[in-house]
Amino acid sequence: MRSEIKVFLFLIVCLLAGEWGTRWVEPELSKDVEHLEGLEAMAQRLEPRGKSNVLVLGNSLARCGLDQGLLSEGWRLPSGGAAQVEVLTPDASGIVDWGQGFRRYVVETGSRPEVVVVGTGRVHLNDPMEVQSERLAAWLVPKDERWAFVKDQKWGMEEAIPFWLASWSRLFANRERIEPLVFYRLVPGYEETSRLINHERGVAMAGRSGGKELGAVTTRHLQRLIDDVAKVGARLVVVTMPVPEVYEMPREAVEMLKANGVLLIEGGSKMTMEAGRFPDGYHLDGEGARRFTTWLTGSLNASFGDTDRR
Amino acid sequence: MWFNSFSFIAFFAVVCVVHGVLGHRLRNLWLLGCSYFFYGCWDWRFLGLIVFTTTFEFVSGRAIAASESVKVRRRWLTASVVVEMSILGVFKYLGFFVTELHQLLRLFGWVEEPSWTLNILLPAGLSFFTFQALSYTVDVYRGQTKATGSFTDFALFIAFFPQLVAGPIERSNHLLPQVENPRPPLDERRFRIGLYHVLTGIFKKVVIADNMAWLSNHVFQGSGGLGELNGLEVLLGVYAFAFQIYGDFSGYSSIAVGVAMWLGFDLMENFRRPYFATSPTEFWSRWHISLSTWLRDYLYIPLGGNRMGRWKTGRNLMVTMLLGGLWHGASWTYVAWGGLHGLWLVVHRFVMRERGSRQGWWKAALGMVGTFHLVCLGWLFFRAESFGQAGQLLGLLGAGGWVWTPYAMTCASLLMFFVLPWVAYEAWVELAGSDLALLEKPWLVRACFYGWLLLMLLCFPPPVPSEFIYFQF
Repeated sequence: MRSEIKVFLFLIVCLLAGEWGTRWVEPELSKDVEHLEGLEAMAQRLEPRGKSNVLVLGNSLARCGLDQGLLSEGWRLPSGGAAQVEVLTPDASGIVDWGQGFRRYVVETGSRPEVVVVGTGRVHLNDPMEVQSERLAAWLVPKDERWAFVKDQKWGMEEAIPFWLASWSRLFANRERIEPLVFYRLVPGYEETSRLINHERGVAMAGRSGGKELGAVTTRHLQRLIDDVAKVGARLVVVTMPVPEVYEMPREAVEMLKANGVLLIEGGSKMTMEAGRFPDGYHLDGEGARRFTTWLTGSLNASFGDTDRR
Repeated sequence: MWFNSFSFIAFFAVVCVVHGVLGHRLRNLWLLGCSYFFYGCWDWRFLGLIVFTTTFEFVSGRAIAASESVKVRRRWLTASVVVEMSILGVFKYLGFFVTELHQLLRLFGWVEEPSWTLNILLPAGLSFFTFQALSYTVDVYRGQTKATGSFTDFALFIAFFPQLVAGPIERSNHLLPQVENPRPPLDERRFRIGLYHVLTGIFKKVVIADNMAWLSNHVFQGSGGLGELNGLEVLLGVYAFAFQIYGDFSGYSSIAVGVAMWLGFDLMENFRRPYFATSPTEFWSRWHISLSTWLRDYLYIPLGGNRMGRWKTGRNLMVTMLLGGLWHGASWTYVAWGGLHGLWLVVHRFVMRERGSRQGWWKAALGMVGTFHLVCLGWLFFRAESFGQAGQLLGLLGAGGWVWTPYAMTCASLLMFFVLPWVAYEAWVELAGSDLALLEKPWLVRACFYGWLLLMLLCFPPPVPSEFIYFQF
């Protein structure tokens, strides 16, 4: 067995070198990692009270579709100040990521935003959801809540093992980021092709999750986020982001938000944009973001004004 | 419980630990229990079917061996064939033929809508374990295998988990003696060979097959419709599928061989670098070897093989391949796939052989490229969801308009990135003339090779994991 032991030792050395190398180049791996690495600093900026802090939870829909400058300028918060907008918008994230990220970077750090805005699409607030357990483990789930999280998710071995591996190893946590990094730079047409194929998958998934009912996973996590936001004394606003096809939120989600006194602004069904505003077929461009944010700040000011008057 | 899952790693670790401390008889009992558990993880409801098949073939084998009378022996053999074919017929083909019958009757106006549909669940690996069970009875009848007296051993022969749901389809005279007799311990050689098979198998499945799957799916099930594709995209999509199915199935077989090797079993090689075949005949001596030799021994030769003249040989080849196609599933596209291969085997046999065997490297290279493309044409029918789709794709291939679109560029690049290094490695193995040539190299060479496999597995996982294709057969 001696020569096979050497083979194994060699592989272990390779893995250790990979782990070290990944930790070294981690922030360069993708904009998403850069964003995730910056969440601790974001939490610190949110800490001081009385600064009219707004935290936006969402994904690339919210990142591309909200013009932060316009939102800051145009939205007059109940406290009277201009909104200081911070974002927690990892790529392809959903309600599970936002809820856990909120716990880790807001509830646990003592940060106190005045308002929390969730910018979502329909599929990000509906079962079945694709959960990136590696990202959750490495960046979003509070460290001392990992066991409870895994237990709560009722995960089998296939989901739980990658979660634990990613919580220990940056190489494992980032392994899916290396492929796009290489292919986006070196493979001609890869970006367009992966977008096309992701769109096809999205259509297929939307077909599978086309029901109006909210799934059990979403219900649990949405309720928990509502409770956590209330716990830190912030107000929650859910905004549905425009995509090329007009959509409505799942009926149960709407009822749940109403029952908890959450303001819902349905941009996904009320704010229609021409196809040219979605250059990649899914996300708003700069002009689209400006138009949507202007419309949104109008709605927010009206709604918050109404609420204050009440 | 897929082979490339964490659940399987945990399951196999427990299997090995307990297996290591038991004696031979208890090992067989333990492996049988584990095999039933493994199958039960797919669908416990069909465990009864395996137990029934096992019991019936065990009794049949004993009855055939015990009787001196040709009539009695033949009666038991017939019963065995009828029972196994009935199981296959009901679970795999009944729904299909009922639908087809309805279509036919409707054509004559004898029945009306709604169509007759039977939604029968297909047990995982049904075609594999029924063929394996059937071969045992036939072998006992022919006197090629001694009927076993141990039900546990026979049950393990049928249900041995590494090869239960997707082969290789083992023969009784190869696997059964290994079950019955004490097996060799896990020494360095066995560990080394097993490791090679398991690592290369996972690589072929996860890196090659799954990374090709999302590319080929775009051509065969893209939501944009076929009208948006051009000929080059279809060609590259078919290439992607050719390597997807090769990586998927040969990967599964490799893992099965490796895992069995660690447990002391030698399973047969199921693939031997099939895309290096220089003729259709050679392709079938390299692709799904356990099925092609099964069909040869239990169908082609009993039909008369090549002993009854030119035309009957051709007929036998066609019948064998058509049924081989149907074995894959209840669909006319599978039959067409089998028919195409049958046709090429016949043509190769009667046209090419008259010209003599090829000589010279360029003729071999030409034969390789030609065979690969004939095989790809077959894959187009195999993967197509209907004849209509296959026809449309063929039309696009012939229509020209071969433009380098983003998809075409991506597909070509990823074929080069994922597949080309593996093909180069296989070319080296082919030239070395030994399936396990790598294992004869110094440890550092093996370690670097495994390091590359590991790097690819870790850093280039497929965007969308896919199931093993052959489980559905």
